[in-house]
Amino acid sequence: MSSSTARAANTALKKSSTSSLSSSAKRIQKELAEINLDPPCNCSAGPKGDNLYEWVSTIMGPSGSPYASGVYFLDIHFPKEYPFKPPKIVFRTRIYHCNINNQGQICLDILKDNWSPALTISKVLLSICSLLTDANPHDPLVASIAHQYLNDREEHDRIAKDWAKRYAS
Amino acid sequence: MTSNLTADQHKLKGNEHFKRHDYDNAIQEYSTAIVKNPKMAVYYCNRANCFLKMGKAQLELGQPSEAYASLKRSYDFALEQRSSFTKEIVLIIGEVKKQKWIEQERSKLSELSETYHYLSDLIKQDIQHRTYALGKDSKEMAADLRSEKDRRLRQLETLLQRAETPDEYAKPYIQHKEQQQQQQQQPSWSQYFTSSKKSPQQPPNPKQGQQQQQTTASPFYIREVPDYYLDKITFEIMHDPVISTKSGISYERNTLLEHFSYGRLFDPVAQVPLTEKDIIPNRALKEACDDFLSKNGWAVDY
Repeated sequence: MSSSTARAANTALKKSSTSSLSSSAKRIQKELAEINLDPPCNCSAGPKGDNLYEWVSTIMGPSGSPYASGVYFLDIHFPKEYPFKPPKIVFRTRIYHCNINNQGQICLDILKDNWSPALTISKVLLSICSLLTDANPHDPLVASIAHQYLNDREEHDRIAKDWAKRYAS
Repeated sequence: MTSNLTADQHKLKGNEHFKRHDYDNAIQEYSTAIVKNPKMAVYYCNRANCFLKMGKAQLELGQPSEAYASLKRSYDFALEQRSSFTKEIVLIIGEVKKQKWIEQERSKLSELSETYHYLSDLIKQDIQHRTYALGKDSKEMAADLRSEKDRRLRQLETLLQRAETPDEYAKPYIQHKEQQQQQQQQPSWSQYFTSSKKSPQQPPNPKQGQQQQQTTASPFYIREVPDYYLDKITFEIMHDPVISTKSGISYERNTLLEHFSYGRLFDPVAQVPLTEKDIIPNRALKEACDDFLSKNGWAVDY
């Protein structure tokens, strides 16, 4: 290629400023499309506003659990390094659960050390749902609730149900 | 060749050429610098960057095949150097593959249009001859012939529609490229072909109404890239798939290396330990991906 054609092409390049999305934004968009097309059961999720990196999600308390009547709101924040770094997810609705503290932080291995870039928000939400069905008292965030869960399950479930009625409905 | 210059002087000369967008000469200077001092990473990177810039320019000039060759070399060099711009190269390679596909669909369309015109002219001539032969007194027969002509032309249209027509998906791309505006709402095939006859260089412009239609009738148009062509991390069609020898699962090389760069040395799907030494190129899958893209250029934007 001669230098003159190269120059001509370069000016052409400048004109067509390709505003390409970053790879994280592209991936988040694909997940959004996928969630809309095939939503995970009992959950919904989508961007709060124009910012693709800030989402809000709702989870219906799974039937058969003390959270059954509740609707829980969660905030999802995607880091710029997504999907190589995990999303940050917190409960906005109060919940009585040994793996979720009063700040709404969730103790879930796949949101921390066991995160894999092959996971998606939809899979994470499903994991949170199953965490509501089956708590993990052996790796608790709130030790007192875990203790109660193991020793006085009836009372634990009663309080959890009460909180669901009070805060999540 | 000025062989008494040092490697660094060659590099500086290369930079001068690069600034003037004279990539051919810049590549030569950098290559000379590499021969003189093969241990300087920056010479390799600069050379890879030249090929990238050249590939971009060739793409803009509508030479996708040349652009592909440049970008392939750029990718190989950049990968060797672990350069940060391999990601960008892969993006542009996708763009190149899309352009190649658009070209192909466009030539298909003009070929089809040419055949249509040739055959429809033959039909018209034949009917004309037969009308003359009838003489003037049998008006009824002439009317029959006219309806026969219409019928045959319609037949021809249906036949060609069933033939290997250009990909519906290519139309918006072709239209976008030519930036043509058309007011027609629902042109028939003959109109479609006629518009292409006037300007054989330009493809018949897909109708404006068509794009509207595509958005409203989208379920009909939704197409999918099979999952096995998609990288498990970016969910995009792969360009340089590598296979994890620990699990047999394939990933796009770039994204897997990025995953490793966060110090997380495991197979993302199988969750077993995995390092760069445990991956090998998946050549069969690469061929399959390339083949799919050559027939479905739209998949780049999927």
